[in-house]
Amino acid sequence: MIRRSRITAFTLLELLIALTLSGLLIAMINQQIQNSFFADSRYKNQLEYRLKIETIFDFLSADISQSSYFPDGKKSVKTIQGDGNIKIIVKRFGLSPINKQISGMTVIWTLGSDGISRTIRSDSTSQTRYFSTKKVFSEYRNIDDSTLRVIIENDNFSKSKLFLL
Amino acid sequence: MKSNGFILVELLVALTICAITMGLFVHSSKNRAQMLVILEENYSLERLKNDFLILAKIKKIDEINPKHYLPLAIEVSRNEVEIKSQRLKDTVLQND
Repeated sequence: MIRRSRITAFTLLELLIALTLSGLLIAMINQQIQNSFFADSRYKNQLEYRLKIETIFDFLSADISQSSYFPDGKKSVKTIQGDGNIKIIVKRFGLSPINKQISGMTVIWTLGSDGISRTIRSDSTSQTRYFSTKKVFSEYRNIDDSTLRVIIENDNFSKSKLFLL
Repeated sequence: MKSNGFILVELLVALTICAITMGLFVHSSKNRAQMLVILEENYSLERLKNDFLILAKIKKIDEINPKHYLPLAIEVSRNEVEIKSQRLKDTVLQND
C-alpha cells in the first residue's frame, strides 16, 4: 500500500477562491484605476504641449531676431490679426535647402484654429512645417512702436512673449 | 512526498516583488511629471527675464501679466518682479 503524505501547499479550491476575490476587487476598483491612469496621462500630455509652446516662442524669437531691416531701421516683421488667428511674416536671410547658398526668404508663422505652423518661402522653395495641429487662440499687441507681444492661449494655459522690432 | 504547490513564503515574495515594481512605476511616472513642471518653470523664468528687460527699458513693468508665466508664481510691483515659487524663492528681478 502506497502511503500518501499530506501536501502543505494551497489547494486548487483555495487558489480559485483567492483568484475570484482578486477578480471581484479589481472589477470594483477598475474605474478608479483607469480614471487615475488616464488623468495622469492627460496631465503629462498637457505639460508636454505647454513645453512645445515654449519652444515655439524660442523658434519665433530666433526668426524675429534674425530678420532683415527696413531702410528706417525697423525689422522686417509684419503681423496680421484674424479672428483668434495671427500671421507673423518675417523677411530674413537663410541657407537655401536646394543650393545651400544664402538667399532671402519669407518666413510665415500661422497661429490659430489650424494649430501652429511655419512656412518658408523663397525663389527656390516653399515648405510648411506644422509644430502643432491643436487649436489655439492667439493675438498680438504692440506695447509701443518697437515692442510686440504675442499671446498664445487655449483652455489650459495662456502664454505670451515680447519681441523687439 | 514532495509538495508541488506554492508555499506561503513563495507567494509573499512574488507579491512583494509585484508591489515594488508597481511602486517604482508609479514613482517614475510622478517624477516625470515633476520634471516637466520644473522644465516649464525654467522656460517661464527665461521668458519672464526677457520680457522684464524689455519692459524695464520702456518703464512699463506693469504690463507683465502673471497668468502668462504659470506655473511660475510671481508678484509684480512698481519696480520689481518677485518669484514666489518654492524652488526659485527669493529670486527678484529689479529695475536698476
